[in-house]
Amino acid sequence: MTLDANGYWYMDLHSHSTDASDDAGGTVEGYAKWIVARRKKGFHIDGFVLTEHRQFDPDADYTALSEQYGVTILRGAELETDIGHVLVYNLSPEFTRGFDLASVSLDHKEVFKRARETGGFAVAAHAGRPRIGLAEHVHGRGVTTDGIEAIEQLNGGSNDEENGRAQELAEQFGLHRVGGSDAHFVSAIGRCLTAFRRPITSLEDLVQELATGEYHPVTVEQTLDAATEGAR
Amino acid sequence: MAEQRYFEDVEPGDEFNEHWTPTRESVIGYLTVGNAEAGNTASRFTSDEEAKKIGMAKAIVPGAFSMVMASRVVADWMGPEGKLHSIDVDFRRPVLHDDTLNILALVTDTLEDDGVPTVKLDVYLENERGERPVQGTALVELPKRG
Amino acid sequence: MTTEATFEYDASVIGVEVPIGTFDITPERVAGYLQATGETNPLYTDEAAAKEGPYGGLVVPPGILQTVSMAGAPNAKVKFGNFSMHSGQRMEVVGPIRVGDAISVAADVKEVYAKTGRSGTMVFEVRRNTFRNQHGETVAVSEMSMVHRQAGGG
Repeated sequence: MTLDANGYWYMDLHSHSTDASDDAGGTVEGYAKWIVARRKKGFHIDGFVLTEHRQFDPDADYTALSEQYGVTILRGAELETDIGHVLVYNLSPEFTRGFDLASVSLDHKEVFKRARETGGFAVAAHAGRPRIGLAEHVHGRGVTTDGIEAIEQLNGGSNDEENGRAQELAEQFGLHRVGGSDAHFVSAIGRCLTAFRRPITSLEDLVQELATGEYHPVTVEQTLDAATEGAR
Repeated sequence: MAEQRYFEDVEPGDEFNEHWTPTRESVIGYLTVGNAEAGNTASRFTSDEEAKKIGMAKAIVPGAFSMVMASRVVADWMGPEGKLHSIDVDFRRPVLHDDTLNILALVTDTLEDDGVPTVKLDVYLENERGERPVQGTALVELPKRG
Repeated sequence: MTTEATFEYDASVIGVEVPIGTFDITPERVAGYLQATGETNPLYTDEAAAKEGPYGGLVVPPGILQTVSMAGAPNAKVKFGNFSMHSGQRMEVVGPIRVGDAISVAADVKEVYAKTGRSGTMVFEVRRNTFRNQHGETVAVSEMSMVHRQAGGG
């Protein structure tokens, strides 16, 4: 597993599968197969994180699939807070004990803070989306971005205007930016990605890289061999 | 007869697309097939005013119309001897009159289900706002060569 | 993960088929459908080519059945939330349809169930239509999902 010619490692940080998200139609193996198919066409997708809605099953294990297809498959969660949805990576038992993950109105400050304190990392999901994204809460309700290091600026389920709103928010408050497909169906996996500077094969790697701020969101088209560096 | 596609020639990652711009005229034409009065009745599907009452920017395209257009793209892709078994779509955002749509069908898996050569596809409608208002899956059977 | 929600509906209609009427596949209807959908597939539009095809003649796109008016179809009268919308559509194609067929239409409510989605609890109602030709053969089944929820929450 190596970086591409431009020195990037591409990871989709937001996806849902039939294993645990009942609004999803894509299976984990389907995602892995699709990524292999996309690679044959010159796209770079190194891995993805399953972020099922409002839950985390510590026993789910995708190591075998990961090895079979040569795709990094990690697990996080998409939780729901008072400032919209939040992606959390590397959820420790210590973290999950502290929250009712099924709640739709967690205290976002606690989620961001506790994630970091327990070895994880939280990102405000689809930040430009009405109601369930951070931007509206900052502009409309005077919520501050204190304690928030990164937002999902490029989200595959958001439209161009919403992703633009997220970009403005990131620029205004100096937030780090990630990309994720928000895939619910097979062929959506990897549509939007985060370009990292180092390979990621574990949750610890992911948290470490997210903390550096050295990454940016890209569309899958931007990973094509001939594509030039740069975020959308 | 249009080109036939064979099971052996298909692999995950294959894509096919067609463009579609649903006009008011075509929506009324579609509705009129099953309901002769559709053209004379103001509804969210035919009138901007009615659609605005339910919070839409303008008149919307019936969900089933979007689904059958996706099924049409699949039928065109598979050729005359292909069989569409099912199509199943979710409506995530409204499709508006005069939207510039790209309808995509993408092969996600191929399998011989009880000896039946079966292809799984994802289908999507994409609009000019960067949205995928309709997305779903289709299951088709393709003939084998020989 | 499903949260038990309190909602009311008329369970007596579940799985009980109600005849809606007969939909004749007339040349006019087929022409109208082909025009609205901009159909160019020779299976549906080119008699000579279709004769050489797998059905030995012209067939009609199954999508035409989606246009059938469902006035009189049973409704589970779900009482939940303040907002409902058409959330999904499914079509299962069983056999070919030809011009001149008389398709009898029957409707039932397949199921009503609750699940927790991105905006809290939602109640789904799946309305099913079964289409049979004049020989009693099922040619297609379609399902329409309606979602009922509380708007503006979560």
